[in-house]
Amino acid sequence: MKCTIVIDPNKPEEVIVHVHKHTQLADEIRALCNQNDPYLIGYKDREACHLNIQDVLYFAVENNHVNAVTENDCFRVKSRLYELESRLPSAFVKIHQSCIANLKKVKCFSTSLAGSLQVIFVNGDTDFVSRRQVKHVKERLGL
Amino acid sequence: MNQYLKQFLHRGLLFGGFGPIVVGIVYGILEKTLPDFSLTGIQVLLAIVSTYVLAFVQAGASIFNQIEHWSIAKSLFFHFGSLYLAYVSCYVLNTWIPFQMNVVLIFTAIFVVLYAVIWGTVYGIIRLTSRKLNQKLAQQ
Repeated sequence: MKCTIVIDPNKPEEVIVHVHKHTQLADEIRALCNQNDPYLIGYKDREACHLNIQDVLYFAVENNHVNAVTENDCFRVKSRLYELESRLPSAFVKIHQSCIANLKKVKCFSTSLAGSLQVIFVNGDTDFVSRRQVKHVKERLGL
Repeated sequence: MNQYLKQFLHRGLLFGGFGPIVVGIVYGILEKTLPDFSLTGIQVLLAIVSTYVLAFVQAGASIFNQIEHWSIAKSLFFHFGSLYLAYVSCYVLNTWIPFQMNVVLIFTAIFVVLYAVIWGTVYGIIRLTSRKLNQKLAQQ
């Protein structure tokens, strides 16, 4: 793939990738670019505000809307969960179909008596890791 | 519609079809191994419908463990209860076990033991996983 870097302080920084088809490399380039953008627009009471991605404990789908949950607050995000998944830093991992967790904000994992792997976040919120996603969570933590 | 009911139905519909497949395989093996094995149309229909319902309930019941506002005891009660009812009624309807008190009691005892063994195994595996994940989490 041809790669050209143009240094021009007068233009906004932007990366445009021309590919023949959707590839993993394209996804990786996009994820890499987005890692440098630590902010996200969240909405609360019809007001938009900048959310620092690192402050988000998890993104969860509720009533067909994606919510970004921080330690003390909850904001609605306009992106879809799969869109977020591709642009979030590597600390974020999908734990089940409707939730992406920030591993840096996970207090601990525990076992529920119901036989599922539970995630306990630093604010006390809990969720579970689906069987399908356990493998990905382990990989992300280097197991 | 309640989201849990929706998920119960969704999971049930996804996996319900596996029941008749399993019963078909078992009947196929019995036909090959037992020389005088035969079934009436009604028996086959009953087996297909009841095992579909059984697989449907078994798949759907997994949602009981994920209802957060339920206590563990309530989740286990509903999970165990729904599976037990589905299994015992399926076995009795298909006359795989006779409808006699002592037989049903033995069936219940076996069911309880197997449920406890499977639950214990799953719990042990998950506990080990969570311990390893916590170690890794602490290192980061």
